[in-house]
Amino acid sequence: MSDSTESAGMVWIPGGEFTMGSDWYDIESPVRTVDVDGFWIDRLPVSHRDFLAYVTATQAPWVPDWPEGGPQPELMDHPVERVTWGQARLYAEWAGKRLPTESEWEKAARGTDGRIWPWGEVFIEEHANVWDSAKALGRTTIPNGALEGNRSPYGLVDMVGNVEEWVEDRLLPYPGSSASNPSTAVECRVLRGGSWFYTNEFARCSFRRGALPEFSGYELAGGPGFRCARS
Amino acid sequence: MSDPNDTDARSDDPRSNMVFVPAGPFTMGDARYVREAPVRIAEVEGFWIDRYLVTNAEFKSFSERTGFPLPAHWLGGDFPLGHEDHPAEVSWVMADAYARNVGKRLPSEAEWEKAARGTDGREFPWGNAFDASMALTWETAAVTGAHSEPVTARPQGASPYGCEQMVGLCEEWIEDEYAGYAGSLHESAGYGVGMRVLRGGSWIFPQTHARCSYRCFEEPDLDTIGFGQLGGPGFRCVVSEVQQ
Repeated sequence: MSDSTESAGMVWIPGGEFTMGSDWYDIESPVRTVDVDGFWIDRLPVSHRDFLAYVTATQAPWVPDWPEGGPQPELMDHPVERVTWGQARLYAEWAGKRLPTESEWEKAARGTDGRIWPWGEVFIEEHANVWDSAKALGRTTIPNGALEGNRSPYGLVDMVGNVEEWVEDRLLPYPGSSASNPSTAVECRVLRGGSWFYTNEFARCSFRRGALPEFSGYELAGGPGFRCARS
Repeated sequence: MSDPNDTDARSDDPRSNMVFVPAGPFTMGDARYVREAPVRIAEVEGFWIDRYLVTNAEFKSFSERTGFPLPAHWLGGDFPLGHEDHPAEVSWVMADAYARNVGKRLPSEAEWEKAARGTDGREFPWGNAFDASMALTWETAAVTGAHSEPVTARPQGASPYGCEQMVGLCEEWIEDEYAGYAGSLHESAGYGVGMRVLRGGSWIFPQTHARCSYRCFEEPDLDTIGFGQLGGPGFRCVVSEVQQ
């Protein structure tokens, strides 16, 4: 990839229209054309190594699953998880970045052809660490980029599976949708991409669910991670 | 409708609080997902199926009658105070033992799906439009923190045959080993390695997993202590119309 489209671990997503949403679920409907300005986005999810650098520099609170002294050495290149929305935002601010918007995240994951999964129209179990494949992978996170097929049209790594990713936006029905549920009625923030704990339904580019901003996941089933963007 | 907590009344007739699902074809599967495809017409014999999930009180009664161990996650040897009419969250092995003891069995995947969606191929037990009030799913649990509720709490979400809480609340154990459907070309690391099927999703999952055709899987001997705060699968039982 040339220097003009990748810089310091970020990938340039050109401005322009893309197809967002799906008609499979009310909360993802309607399918529509959305225009986003060009932006930079991290090629990889934020790793434990990245987050440790931030914690060390800022004395920010420990991520809940870290033992005393920081993350286990063998997890350094896995995506950080069990991070709240607020912690993710503070990291992004420290890094001179921000969380992606929902439409930025979806465009980065699926490109402009409306594909269902980042690699295409057909689910391929070997491409992602999702519940379908997780038993063989240890039912936990794996290092960023470990599965070579997990690439979006722009070359982004691990947009789906492994850890869910916080985005900036509140979970709201899309314009023109009548979808309504308790998660859209209060301030839930959107999680994208699913994780090792969830089956392939969560690994679709258009999948979205909400969680309270203070949600950090569960003791055994892991919790959200994130990647950053920059205008 | 009789009181589901009245286990004595239920034990008099094994088919009390069961509903009948007639023999005949129904539409099974979902073409959008490789694990649920192909959509096909499946045939089942007639069978009776529990209207409600098996409760904590019923499982405790079974354990007291038989000496079968209580769920390991029942701290202090009992279910949480006030949860007698909540679903018993147990391993497949425990669910299977309970079903046999009461002269029933766990449903097959086809039986469960027909009981959940009837014959019109609907997406959810109550119809084709998602409605968060019909089942305890993530859309609600994310906000309220509810991880359990009585098995009778959602009569509005009943299936075409009257089965309640088929989706949401807790996943439900199926008799079958997890495998690819006949006619499917999809290969999965989870197929054919001794996993048992789970159906119906739970409070942990949103509407994607509350579909009648959704399938998941887990180890049969995993007691729910392994799930910690997530809780575990529950179950309901069936009886064949014609006993073998």
